[in-house]
Amino acid sequence: MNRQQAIIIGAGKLGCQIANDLSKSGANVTVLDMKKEAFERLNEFSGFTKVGDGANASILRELGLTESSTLVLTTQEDNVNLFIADVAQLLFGVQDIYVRLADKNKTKLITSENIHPICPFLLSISYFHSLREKGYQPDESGRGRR
Amino acid sequence: MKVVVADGNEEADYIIRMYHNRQNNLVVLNSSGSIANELSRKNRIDVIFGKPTSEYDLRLAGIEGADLFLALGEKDVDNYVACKMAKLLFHAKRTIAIVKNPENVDLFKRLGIDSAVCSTYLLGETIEQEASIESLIKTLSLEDNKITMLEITVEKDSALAGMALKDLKPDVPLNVCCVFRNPSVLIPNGQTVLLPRDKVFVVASSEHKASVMQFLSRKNT
Repeated sequence: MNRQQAIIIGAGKLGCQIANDLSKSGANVTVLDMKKEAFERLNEFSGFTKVGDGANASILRELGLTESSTLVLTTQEDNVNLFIADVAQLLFGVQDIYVRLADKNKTKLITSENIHPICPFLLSISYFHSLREKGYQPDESGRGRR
Repeated sequence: MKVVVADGNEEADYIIRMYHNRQNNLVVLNSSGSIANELSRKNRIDVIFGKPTSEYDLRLAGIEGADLFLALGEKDVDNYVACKMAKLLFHAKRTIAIVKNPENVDLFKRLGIDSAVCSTYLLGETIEQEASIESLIKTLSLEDNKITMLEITVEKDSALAGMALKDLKPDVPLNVCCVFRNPSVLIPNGQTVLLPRDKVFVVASSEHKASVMQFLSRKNT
């Protein structure tokens, strides 16, 4: 039986948490980061780690990406994330790509429906509005109304 | 022509000097404050202090509809994103990026950047070219290196193959003085047609040696 393959590039707080979660749920996870120390946040993790620069196409080739891989890009740099997403789609036909972007304007550079932006700024805004909306709807406990 | 120079230090300075004249509308943007000041001071030109991968900064710089967008930054990925943004959001007609990793030359083009330039890649190409030309052409200097005699073997894919000498039309003065077609030695005239495997002997002024070598080694495309 083939396990879902997931590759995480950028082992920061978000990358490691996603890696832990996917690993726990049974996926075959590989995490790539430029620094070995970054992997210390991985716990409850039974996948692979690799040190290297994801913005380098020859390193990407060694990760064994295929059309059915899930690719999560959570490096510190938006530009690196965007570049890897485009390369992964072009060279390996990856169809399930998640890109963390700090700059909301860069979501406009995503031109493929296989690439999904995750923008903390936009998420916060939409969460704010959803909280506000809830706030104006009286519920039984009265909570949410100020 | 509207030309945008995004980031870069010496490279930016060179391009600015090349394009800074009345015919061109030059927009210069740099993410380093000190480099921006220096470029501005040296070339007496406005330089915007901003990031080439920030939509806000590019809008402020006024790059919309640029004919040429040059990304000369330190990092390949930053140049990639800058070019993509210039193209997608600001309709730049042509984008060129500098890259450090030779592998990115081909990759950037496939990703929609019009051109990627890599010094290491160019160095490799130059070495290869010179090596291949040298192996094909033998040269002999005469009269204190004022006259050069060159010997070249006509390959199947050479632009010379099948040409009559009168039709050669070289861009520098040269004279084909002898053709060795095994086993005969021909003293050619304008009607002589060059064939593959001919050894051709050419005399030219030494100052034109490089152009003559280039002319003789052209391939049919």
